[in-house]
Amino acid sequence: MTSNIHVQFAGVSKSYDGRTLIVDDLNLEIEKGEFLTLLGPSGSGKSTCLMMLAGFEPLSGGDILVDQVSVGYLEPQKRNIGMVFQSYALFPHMSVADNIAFPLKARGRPKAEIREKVAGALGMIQMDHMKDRMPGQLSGGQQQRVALARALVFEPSLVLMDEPLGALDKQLREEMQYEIMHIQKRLGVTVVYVTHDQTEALTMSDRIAVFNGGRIQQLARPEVLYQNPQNAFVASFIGENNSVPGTVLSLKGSECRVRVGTDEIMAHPVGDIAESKPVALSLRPERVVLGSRAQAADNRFDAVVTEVIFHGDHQRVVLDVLGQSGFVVKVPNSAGFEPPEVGKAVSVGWTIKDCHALAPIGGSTA
Amino acid sequence: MKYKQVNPMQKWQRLSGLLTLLVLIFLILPIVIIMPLSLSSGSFLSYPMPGFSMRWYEELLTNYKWTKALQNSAIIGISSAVLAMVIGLMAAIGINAMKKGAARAVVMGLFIAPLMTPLIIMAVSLFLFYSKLGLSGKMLGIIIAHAILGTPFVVVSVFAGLQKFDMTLMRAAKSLGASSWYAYRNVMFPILKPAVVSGLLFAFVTSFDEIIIVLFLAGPDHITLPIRLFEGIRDELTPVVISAAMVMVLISVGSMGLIEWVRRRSEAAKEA
Repeated sequence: MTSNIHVQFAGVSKSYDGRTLIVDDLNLEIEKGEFLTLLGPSGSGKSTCLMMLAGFEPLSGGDILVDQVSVGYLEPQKRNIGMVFQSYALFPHMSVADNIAFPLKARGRPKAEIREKVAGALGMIQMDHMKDRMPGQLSGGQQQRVALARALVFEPSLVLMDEPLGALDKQLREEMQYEIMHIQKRLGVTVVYVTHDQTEALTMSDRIAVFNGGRIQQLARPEVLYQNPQNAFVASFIGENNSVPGTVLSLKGSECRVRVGTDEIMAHPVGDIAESKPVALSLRPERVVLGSRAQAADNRFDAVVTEVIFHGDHQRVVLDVLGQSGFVVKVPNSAGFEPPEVGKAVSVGWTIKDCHALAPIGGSTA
Repeated sequence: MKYKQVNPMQKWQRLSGLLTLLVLIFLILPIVIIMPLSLSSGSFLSYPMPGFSMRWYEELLTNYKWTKALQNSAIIGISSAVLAMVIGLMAAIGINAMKKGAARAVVMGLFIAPLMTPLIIMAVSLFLFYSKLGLSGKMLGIIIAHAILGTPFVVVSVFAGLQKFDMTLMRAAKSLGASSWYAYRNVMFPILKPAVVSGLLFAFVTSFDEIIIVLFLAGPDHITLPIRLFEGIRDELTPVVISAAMVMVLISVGSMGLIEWVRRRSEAAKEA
């Protein structure tokens, strides 16, 4: 039976000084043809994982398997894994065509094959007319395309990308996101992608592994990650989020009562939640409604508007509510809706299932 | 601008320009003044010259005493520079790969030490050392000694080049399937070439000019051009000495020009 698992991290750990673990007992399975993103703040261990998979960082423990074969202790040049670096790492003394030919020449492929494959790769990135340019004569986006072609030309089934779009401006970054996605789907290669940009991760990935403190906080499809974060860290890292600290009063099935100051809120418990324990209530700004629309909501409170910011298709309303300031609500500019005025009282509400009661950051996490 | 700019600093700039010119003249004049004598048709080192001729250059290139010295200088210069290049390149790469700290500073210091050791001390110690090894009076001994002198130039130059070298390129090469040696040969060395070449030329010029160590270590067959020049001045005192000096000046200036050219070309390549 052939397994669908392409890459497997089995109990991988990494420490630079022998005491602090940068990566702590990591277990992760990546499927063939999957676009998996390692997402997290800097220092969360995501890049270290990628470097261990590429072979540039030795493992402190555990093993990495590619196609069920251990590669954890193999030299990088023997792993046959394509890699795109944040700095592009194009060879400055070689033309575009020579850069792309490099992996084939290093493997001693015949000249005719090299010519044919380089031409194919240049076509894929639509840069045939620039094959004789030097990297220094290319724009950032063009350099990134060449780096991509170079990492794919030797037909690896696994390609790693380390924040490849980090140095590009916003518009170009979005264009390149789609281009990389299309190429990946067309070639059917497995991609392991590292970024700290959650929007990029949500756009591109089949699945996202959210890293913090050397551990995977949650591994899920983008929409699941966004709508059902497993803990307070994931909730705050992915998308915008209002976090309200409270204490669990009672827990019954898929509902719990949480005390916040003098108020009580009905919420949807997620993960490791217990009675009389502290929780973080997580609310997406777009899932909160204001004014008359709040009448029918499960939870309803009185708030005071402190700021209203116009954002084109929506308004950002900042409130004082539940004894907290800086509570953000996104109000769509839909027909017939009057935006609230600063200084006025307004009622605010949300449904039970949109209010997640999560284990707080630094608390007992899974 | 149509305005004539009046700059109070201008007077001082002119004065300092004049001073600089005087210093330069003082430095170059002794060399410039004797240069025409190499083209003299007479046999004496004095002005006025009786006429122009190439006879002393002809003498330089035909008389065995001079051709042998030229040949020795070339062999020693080139071999020692190449040896210094190989050692210096490896040393610089190794030092660069070391963790920053005391050990690295010490190793770097040791490689640069020949630059600061008085030549006479090196000559004396090598003389004693070589007599034990059986290297004294042999050309190989001189080549090794000059390689020691030239290595610091290569180490310093390549090390500086490595500071600007992006080590990610080596990772990229390996991720693309290149062995370590393939990556060194096709990525690191070509990019470091300007630094290596200028170190090589410095090492060559150092050997070509060097006299004290050769004086201590050379047998009668290993007379180099500078030593032959010294002997010539004492024994013959004909314009052939000046023509030999001219050849040395040309080679030294040529090497320095080459270093500058390599440097500019590598900088131009980066901007392209």
